[in-house]
Amino acid sequence: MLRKILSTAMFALFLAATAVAQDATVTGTVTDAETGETMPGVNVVINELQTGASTDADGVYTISGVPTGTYTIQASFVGYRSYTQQIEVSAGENTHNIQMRTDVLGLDEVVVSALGFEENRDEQGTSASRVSGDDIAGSGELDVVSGLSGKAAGVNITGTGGDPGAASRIIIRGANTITGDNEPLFVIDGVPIYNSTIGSGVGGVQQQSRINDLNPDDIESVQVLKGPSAAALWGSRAANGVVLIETKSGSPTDDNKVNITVKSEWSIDELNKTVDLQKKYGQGFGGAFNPTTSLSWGDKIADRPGGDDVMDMSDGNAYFGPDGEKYGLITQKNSRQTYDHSEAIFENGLKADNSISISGGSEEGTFRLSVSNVNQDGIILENSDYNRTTVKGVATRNWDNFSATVNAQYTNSNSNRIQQGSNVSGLLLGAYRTPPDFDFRPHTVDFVNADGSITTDKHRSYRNPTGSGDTPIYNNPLWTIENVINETQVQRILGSTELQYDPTSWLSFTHRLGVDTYTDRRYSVFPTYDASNPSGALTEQELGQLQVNSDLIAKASHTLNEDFSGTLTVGWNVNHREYDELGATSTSIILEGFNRDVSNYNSKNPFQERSTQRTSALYGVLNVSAYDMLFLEVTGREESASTFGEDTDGSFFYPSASLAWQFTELDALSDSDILSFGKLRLSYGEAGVQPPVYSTQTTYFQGGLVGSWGESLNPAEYGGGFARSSQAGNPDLKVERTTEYEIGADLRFFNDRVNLGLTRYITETEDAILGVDRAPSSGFSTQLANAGAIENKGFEAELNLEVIRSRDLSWVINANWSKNINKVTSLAGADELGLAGFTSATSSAIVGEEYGVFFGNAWARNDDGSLALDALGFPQPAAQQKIIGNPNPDWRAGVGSTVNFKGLSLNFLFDIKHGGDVWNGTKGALSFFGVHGSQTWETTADQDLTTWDGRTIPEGTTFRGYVEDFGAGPVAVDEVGHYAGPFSGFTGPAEPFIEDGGFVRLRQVSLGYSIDGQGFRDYTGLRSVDLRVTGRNLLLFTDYSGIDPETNLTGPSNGFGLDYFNNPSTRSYIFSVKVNY
Amino acid sequence: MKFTNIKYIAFVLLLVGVVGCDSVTNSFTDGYNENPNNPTSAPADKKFVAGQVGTVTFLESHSARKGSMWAQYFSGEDRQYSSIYSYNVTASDSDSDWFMAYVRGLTNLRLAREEYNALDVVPVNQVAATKIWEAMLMGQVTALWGDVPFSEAVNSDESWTPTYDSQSAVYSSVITLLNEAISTLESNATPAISGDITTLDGDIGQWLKVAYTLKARYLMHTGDTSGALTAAQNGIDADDGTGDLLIPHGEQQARNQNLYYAFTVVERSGYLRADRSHARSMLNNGNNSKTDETARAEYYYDGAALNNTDGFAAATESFPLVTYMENQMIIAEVEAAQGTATGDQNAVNALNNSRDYLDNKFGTDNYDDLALTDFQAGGPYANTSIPQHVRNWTYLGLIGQIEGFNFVRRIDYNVDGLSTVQGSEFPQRFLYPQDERNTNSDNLPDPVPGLFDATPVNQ
Repeated sequence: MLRKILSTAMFALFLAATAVAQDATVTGTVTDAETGETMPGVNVVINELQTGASTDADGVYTISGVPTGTYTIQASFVGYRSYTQQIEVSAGENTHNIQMRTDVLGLDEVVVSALGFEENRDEQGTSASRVSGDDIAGSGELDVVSGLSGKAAGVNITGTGGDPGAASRIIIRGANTITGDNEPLFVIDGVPIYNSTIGSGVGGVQQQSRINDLNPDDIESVQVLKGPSAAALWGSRAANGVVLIETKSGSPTDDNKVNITVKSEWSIDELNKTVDLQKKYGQGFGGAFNPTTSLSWGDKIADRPGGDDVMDMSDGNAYFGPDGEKYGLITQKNSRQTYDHSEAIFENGLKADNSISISGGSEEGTFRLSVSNVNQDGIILENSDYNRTTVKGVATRNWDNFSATVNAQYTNSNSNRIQQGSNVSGLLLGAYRTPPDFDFRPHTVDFVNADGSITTDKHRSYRNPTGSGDTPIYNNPLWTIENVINETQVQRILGSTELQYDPTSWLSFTHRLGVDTYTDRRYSVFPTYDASNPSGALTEQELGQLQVNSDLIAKASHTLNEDFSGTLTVGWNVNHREYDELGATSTSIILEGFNRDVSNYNSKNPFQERSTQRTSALYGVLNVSAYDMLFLEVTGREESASTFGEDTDGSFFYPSASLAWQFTELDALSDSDILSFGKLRLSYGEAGVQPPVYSTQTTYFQGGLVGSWGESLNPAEYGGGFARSSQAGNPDLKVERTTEYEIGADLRFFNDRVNLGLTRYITETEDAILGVDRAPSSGFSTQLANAGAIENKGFEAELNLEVIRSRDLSWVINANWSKNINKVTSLAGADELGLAGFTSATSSAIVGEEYGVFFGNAWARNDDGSLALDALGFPQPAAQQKIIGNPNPDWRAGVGSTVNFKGLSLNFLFDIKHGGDVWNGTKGALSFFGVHGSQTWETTADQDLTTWDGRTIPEGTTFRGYVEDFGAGPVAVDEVGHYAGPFSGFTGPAEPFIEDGGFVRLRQVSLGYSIDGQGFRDYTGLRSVDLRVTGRNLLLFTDYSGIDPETNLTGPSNGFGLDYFNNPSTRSYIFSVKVNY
Repeated sequence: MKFTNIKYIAFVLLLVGVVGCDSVTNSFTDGYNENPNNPTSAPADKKFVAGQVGTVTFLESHSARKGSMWAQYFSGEDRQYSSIYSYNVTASDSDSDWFMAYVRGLTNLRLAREEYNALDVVPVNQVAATKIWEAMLMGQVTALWGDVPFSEAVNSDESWTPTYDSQSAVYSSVITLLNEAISTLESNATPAISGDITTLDGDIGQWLKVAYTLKARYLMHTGDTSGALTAAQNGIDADDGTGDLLIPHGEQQARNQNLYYAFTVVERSGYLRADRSHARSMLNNGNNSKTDETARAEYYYDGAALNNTDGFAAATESFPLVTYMENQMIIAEVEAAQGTATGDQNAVNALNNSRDYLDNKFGTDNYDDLALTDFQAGGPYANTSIPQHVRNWTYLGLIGQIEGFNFVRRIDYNVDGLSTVQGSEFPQRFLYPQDERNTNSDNLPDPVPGLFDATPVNQ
């Protein structure tokens, strides 16, 4: 209250002091257009005069000393769209009230430059997508990257699976490097951080990305610099774009009030799409039951008599279950009971996300503290969980011309994952292959040996139905869930400081120091009788990364005259990174059950890896603006790095330039009622990808000399030897260089109610680093060289429509659309380079094709494209591998909408991927076993039919299979064609198992209600209570026949679109309450 | 205006900062390119051990198994191995053989020699040892492929695409290497070879004899039988096997297990067996009044499988590289070819030496001494000429070794009862590897020979 009186008094004094010499005064009240409340602290400026005032506590502004005439008046305030209007000023007092509209589109006028400085969006010559932290946190995703899905054009995000904490792949526009990392650099509050994903492969577990360590609730905004033209200042780390993350900080409050926000969010996760398995035919082949085969080509279950199965209870074939009863090998199947192996191993997952934040401050300084905890229990029955705790604090202190900020975050994240993929210990490999009439309970039994003795705790699976021997061949999924442990325990600290000194109004110095360090302790435990490790195994390892980054920046600005002004920024960046990994794989356990102690294993194979990498650069930015409509930015970065070869120049220069032209500033266009704003953008930039560390020198190694069949001799056993590496060092190795050209337009229509951004880009990478094959007779078999080339061309559009804007009701639609065409243009003479996958279907780089296309086994074809048939009329596998699919989508789009009515808000987001193949390796394999849901055919031959192996099915016979005419008359495709012939993914080409992975999904829908009325506030003392119900991933429309096609076996790797017994994705129902004090 | 001047000066200073010399940035990054995981150099002794182990992985792994299938010592019974056994083989099948020979073997042997020669006091016996190993390696390489890179090989500083030397040139270089080594070792009885990974433990006297036997082997390849005989007479002479060049093996998986064991038990059970082994059938039918092959058959075979419990393919069983048996059989072959009474007698003597050797090896008394009469009417080998018997016996003396495949090709597969597995032709070589075709095609022989095209020495 005192403040209010004071400020009013000062205002009165001001008026009194200035009232004498005035021509005219402009005054008015600024209010919020929606709520009608007055707005203090709004800057109101008369452009032509460069003079203005702030509104007082009552929202009133007064600008005096204005000569009469026509002026442009402008008002701006954080979180509101800037207000611009022409006014006529006549002598005396002119009243002009202003209504400010909140920035419902999330299109703040402010963007962040590559160096982390806030700049005016309308003056940028490059495209930038900006998403608010609330939009990310509201998505129901636990990590920032997944939360960006569908929200920005050209930012392609693919989840890799539904396991708790699983990484997401983020590729901006398209792949710019062939064997390097294609993910963007992440920069948080001006400091680069790690987003590593370590340990992904065709088997194993779904690994995390380290970006998961951030709590989305701590994020103010995420801005994506999509390529070198915007990101060139990050030099050799910017070829794939940069994701700039700003975290929340405190803001000044009245009366030293402390703001407190408590959020509690609960979520139920469900399996969203599973694999269809058949339940019609039992274990066996030839239409007959067989208890020891891997196949489900047995008898028709419905034709069984019912009742108990006949068992062989003799020693060597019998076991005791946990119930103490004796069972034996089933020799005759009578029971008609079937089991659902597709869903039995899943349950509803539960997730709790609780956080509290405290913030506040004054003009002298602000602070914000937050603590959050996520506790997730995954949809797999056990040992699938994620627990993340974050503690984050940020404090700023301001002096007259100096300010200091400290930012610190600690994350503790623990997770347990289940084995997946091409892995006999994998969950779904064992589960899905199990015949529908096999009960995989119990999974642990006491086996009766042939001599009558008992071996306890044996592993029973459908490939080993009594628990004999040492291996189950495939793990019983329930045994895997209960016994196989894959833990990761991450401790991470992110810290940064920022000092700013402004000696004069036109010069400032900024120093930023950032540290990012984490350790990841991993345990992988396989007890005895595991299929991959029958003697038991423990892999225990600790890996960690450290990054220290420093930027010293000086910024000077100068206004030459009213038409020209400019800013010059120069900086010095140093960056130091370390990687450290130490561990051992131990096999052959001594004391079963005590399985986390390395010394408890007979055989140990330790491993170790370290690296240090340094980068240093000088850089500069020159900004020039002319006539308030032309904005030029030129940047340059001169960089050296420790990974460059000794024989290169040692440092590389990365330039960029961009020009923005606000053509609506032209007199002819400035009064348009339709086009309220128009800007053309033109930009160019170069950035790079550094060579892998230590690739410039040839080294010697101690280790096994391994033959191609796995056999190996280790010189250590023969007195110790060091062999020269088969990879030649390349002292000429230099940075890959990506050049981008971008042109675009930002247009606003109908008083800014329609916003359209259009961008066209071309990106070319030269000197891409890849392994070049060398003649082994030269003494080396491979060498990394700057030898490849790849290009991307694309188009992006972003549209925002403010359909209704009124005080109580607003309706906004936003949409984005992007299309990228990629082409690998050179592979140094090689035809194909595998990126990820299997020989039968490899996601590959192939000259002239899009990056990641599937190269694999196909049907043999005649010159006219028809199938080349064998003598019996069946198609046959081609001798040569070829391109069989393309996982790159034709285009992607996101369509979202938000409706606000008083305190109620409804929003949804559809995410659309059109095209983009997925290799359904799961179906290919299940087709071999006869368990895929599509394999329930029952056909009666209407004529004599030939089978793939030359048998004849006489007319009138009913068989399990189907009739097809491949071009030489109808033939019968039956079980033999699947388990021996070419109709399964094991025995035949992968081509028929490439499917369209396009989808339309309702990624997010939420309904919220905010209680913040004045009465409520007065009564409770709270600012507001927000209630929200969110559905994540509730609807999915896709032709893909497997699990959710947004998946990838090998994690966020360069190769993608691979599905081979991947753990499936989820959908969620989320309830959240947020109390703001 | 003054104010503006200060500003301009500041701008210029900032610009100078940007343009500032590289040293500002380089000083921070220099010196961080040293790989802490792997050294960029290694002492000669370490390279020598690596080169020997690399050579052994070539001589004892896929190339030995493949040669043994084509010599029909063993048969391929699953997947790729059944294809290879029936002569269905692609160029990429040779990739790993060639890689082991050149990248693992020859590279490290030559690097070791280079480094020994660069020392202030050159350890001449070490240099000689690298020459013997290189001769043993490259003699087999040229025997298997014919024209191969030799003089320009493994020297990427000079050439990434080494030219191919003619097979005769390579053989002659191999003999030169052996002659040089022999000359060194003959004049330097000490010190022992250090870092010897074989059972000979660096013994100069024994190594000298190995060098002579190898010289005999490669002179036989080139048809210089008299030179071979002279060399063999200075070759391995211990009929108790103590002079044999063997690689010891142990129990450690992927570290020192016998490679036949590693393949047939650990890695690819069922691929390599003896169901269709000609050698096994010869041994099973080889008993007569003077000969009992039971022990030898059981040493190599366990039913239709390889003996990987206590025989040739057991985990801890030493693998033979050069043996007394081979040396004696060279003598026998040359002598038998004389067609004289003395020659025949000398051949039989050599056969008897090898029979003593087998009895010593198996601890048996299964092999009675033969006499010339045994090859005459009424004798156990009455239907066999002495040269033919020597060929049969040599064939059985090289089971599991690449040299067995070299031998059958040299004698046009003229072993009793040996016939092709498929078609009418026997394999005559290893195919040039796909990797080399992709990277060094200009230097490969044109046209690239096929599986049934004999190498020059066998044409």
